Amino acid sequence: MNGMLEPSDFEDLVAWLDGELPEARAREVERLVRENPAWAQAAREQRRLDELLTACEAPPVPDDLPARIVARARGVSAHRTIRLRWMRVAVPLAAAAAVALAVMLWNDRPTPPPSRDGGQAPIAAGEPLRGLDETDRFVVSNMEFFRNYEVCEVLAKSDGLVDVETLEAIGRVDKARPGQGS
Amino acid sequence: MTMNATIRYFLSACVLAAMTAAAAAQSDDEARLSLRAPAGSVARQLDLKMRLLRANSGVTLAAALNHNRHEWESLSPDQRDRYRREYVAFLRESPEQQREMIEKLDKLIAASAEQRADYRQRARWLKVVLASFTDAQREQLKAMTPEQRAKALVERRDELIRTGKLQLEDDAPATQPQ
Repeated sequence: MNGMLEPSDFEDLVAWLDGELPEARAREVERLVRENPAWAQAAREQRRLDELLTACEAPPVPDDLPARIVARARGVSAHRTIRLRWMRVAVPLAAAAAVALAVMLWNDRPTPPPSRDGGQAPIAAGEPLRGLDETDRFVVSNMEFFRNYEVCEVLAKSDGLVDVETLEAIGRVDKARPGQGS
Repeated sequence: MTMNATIRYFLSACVLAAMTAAAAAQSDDEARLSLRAPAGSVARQLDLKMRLLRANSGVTLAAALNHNRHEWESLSPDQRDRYRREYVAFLRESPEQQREMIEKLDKLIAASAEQRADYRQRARWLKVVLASFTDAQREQLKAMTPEQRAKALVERRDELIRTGKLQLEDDAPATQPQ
């Protein structure tokens, strides 16, 4: 094979065999093939390969082969064109949908309590509970209860010791004791 | 970088952002879920009761909620935290206790705003005073008339104040008597 020659020399040898080398280089290659055993061996192998390839019979080419190739090429081209068109629409849509989804989820996230530090939050008309978390929402919805939570707790947990009558009576007792208040 | 690779990276970033936002929202929901009055619970019945009370008093729900929200915004952070603690405490009460507390509200609603403000102030020291009685003393109190009991409670209150075990507070959260 060409294992004995440098790649560039092998290319020159093949080109010389095909009659494609310039005259000066062709004469030099001819001399090398004649005098150098490695070049001679390589030249013999390449000639033998040419003879084998020439001896092989190629299968007959069907008459409709060109038409079939053209038809196949057009089909592939049309399919590829449709797919590319679809991709041009679908990819931006998918990207836009993903962005829109991210924005919607971000906007729909629970808003933290607006004013735990005492700041004032604007109240939109008709949306009195907007911007409140679950706890604050419940408290604001039932403010009457939590405003009086401690009273309800005492009344419910005093085991009957304190009722509204007792609360009223405490007021009367306190009023009767100047200097004391409740 | 090729156009396809750019699109792939962009889509990946978009989907990642969406997943992150969804995860954040979900984790927030889960965190708040523990402080949510379960549907159908007694605590939730409070909502219904409040709505009925408003309806009976001729106040629309929107007007009542707007009023409450404005009141809420006017409260100090400490006052809001107090209500929040009470809400959590309420959720932790047994359904029976919750129901009883809600029932007690009926009697308070019937009282005037000024009376309720007085009751709130008394309730704060009453919790400490009641805890100072022994079981036997509590039985004696039960046998008394409201007037006698009131006198005994006030005497115990004054005693606790003298000994430094009780300090009367202002009616802080009730800045707007209702």
